[in-house]
Amino acid sequence: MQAFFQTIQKIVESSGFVLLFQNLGYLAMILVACGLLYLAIVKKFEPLLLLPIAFGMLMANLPGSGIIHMEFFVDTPTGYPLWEKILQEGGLGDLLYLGVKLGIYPPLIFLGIGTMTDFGPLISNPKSLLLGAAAQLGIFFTYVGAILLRFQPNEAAAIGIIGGADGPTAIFVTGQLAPGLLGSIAVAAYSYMALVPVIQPPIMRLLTTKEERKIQMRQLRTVSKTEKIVFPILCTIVISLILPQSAVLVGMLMLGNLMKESGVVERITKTAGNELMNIITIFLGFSVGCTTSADTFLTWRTLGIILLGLVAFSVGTAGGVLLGKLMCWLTHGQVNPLIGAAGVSAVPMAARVAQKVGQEENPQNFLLMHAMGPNVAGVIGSAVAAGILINLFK
Amino acid sequence: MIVAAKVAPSPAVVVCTGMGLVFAILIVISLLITAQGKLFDWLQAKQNPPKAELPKPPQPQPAEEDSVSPEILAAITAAAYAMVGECKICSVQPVKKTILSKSSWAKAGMEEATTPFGLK
Repeated sequence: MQAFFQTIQKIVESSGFVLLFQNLGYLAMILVACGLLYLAIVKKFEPLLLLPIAFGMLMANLPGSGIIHMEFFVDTPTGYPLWEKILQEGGLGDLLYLGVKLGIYPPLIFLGIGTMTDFGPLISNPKSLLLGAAAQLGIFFTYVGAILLRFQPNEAAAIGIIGGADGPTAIFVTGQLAPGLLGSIAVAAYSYMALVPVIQPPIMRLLTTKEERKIQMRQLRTVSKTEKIVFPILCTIVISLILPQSAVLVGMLMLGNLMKESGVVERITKTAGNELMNIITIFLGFSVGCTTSADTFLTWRTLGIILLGLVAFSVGTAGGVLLGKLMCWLTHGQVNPLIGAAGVSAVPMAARVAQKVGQEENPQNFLLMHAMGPNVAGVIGSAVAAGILINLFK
Repeated sequence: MIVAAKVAPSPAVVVCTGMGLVFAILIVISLLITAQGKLFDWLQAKQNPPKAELPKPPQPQPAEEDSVSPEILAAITAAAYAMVGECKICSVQPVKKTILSKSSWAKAGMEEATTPFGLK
């Protein structure tokens, strides 16, 4: 009988419940995970990524689950992942996390995004690339803010990239520069991307006049199929030669787009844009969620990252709108400054916001296609900014 | 072997270099796209040269209600050509045979086959 009770006692002592109450941080993280699940399921905030991230967070914070061993990846004695330990003792989370650590998932997501992107509005109005560049101001402004909050330069760079409003790029940069902050930065980036319709309109209204918001833009010129095929090739060559660190992100984006525009590989285009992208989204979301342990997430630094993420989005939006105003002035009112706000990536949400705010003032105004130019330019711009930051801080 | 530690650049350098490079690269791409657009427009213009403007055919005058009928007009024109002696066939136009009336059964069948579902 005594042996029976001893066995029961042993099982109880090793159960998650005991460990849960030994470290209340786990309990707090479970509550945070449930909160994120609520936002993803009920409020539909970027559910495709927030749901697997939140569930990964939940599993990583169930004591004893051992879903991931971040000590094999971060702060190791050699500075490199402990490959032997990963292969001998690692599990599902460890192996999936390799895709983040080695920078495999974000470019594959970009491949899928490329198959769904139409660069036509950008090619027909190349000036919109400047708006995409101006909206990257949020990245570098936030870098300074993070330095002031005493983050290390590489961490500050990873936090700044939230301003690119591009989840895969943020994960790509953070995985290379500050893997310890991956969970916090991913959660902040995707939460703010879902909140673009809430964050952007007040800034857009504040920086523009009613007359500017009413401006109707001229119809875009028609872009030939050949131009659409040449563009991804041209873009890959130019960006990769100037900034090799961006080659993998930009290259995969453009490969996906070339597959779509050429029309000769319909089967693999569908696979890249649907099945492959869905599989990678699950792997990416879940493994990023697994990196959010109570020890690394429940800190003042996470609060700082969330605050800086908001600053990054706001300044990026303001940068785009202000350059839009300048272009409006230079062209004597031919450019509606609202389309500048779409320069933060967040495709196509930011372009839809520009359309909505424009139509509030003038129901006859259709800015969506004009805003898609800066919007896709923002994707290229944030990939370029990512390459610059990796070049400077890796 | 001594490896020099990478010193982080100052924030001002990061901001200026970063924004400067982003703008520079995107301006280069913008210029290339513009040049590409102009090249393709030029090639297209070369392939399809604009056609020389042809003299506009005379607009047919609307026939007045109480004027001569087309049959009488055709007869007068033929007579005039015969008088002048320069008669030649300029064009031959096919004339479609029009069905003036259909049986009510044929009409009902056609309506049945062509009316959209929602309007039935």
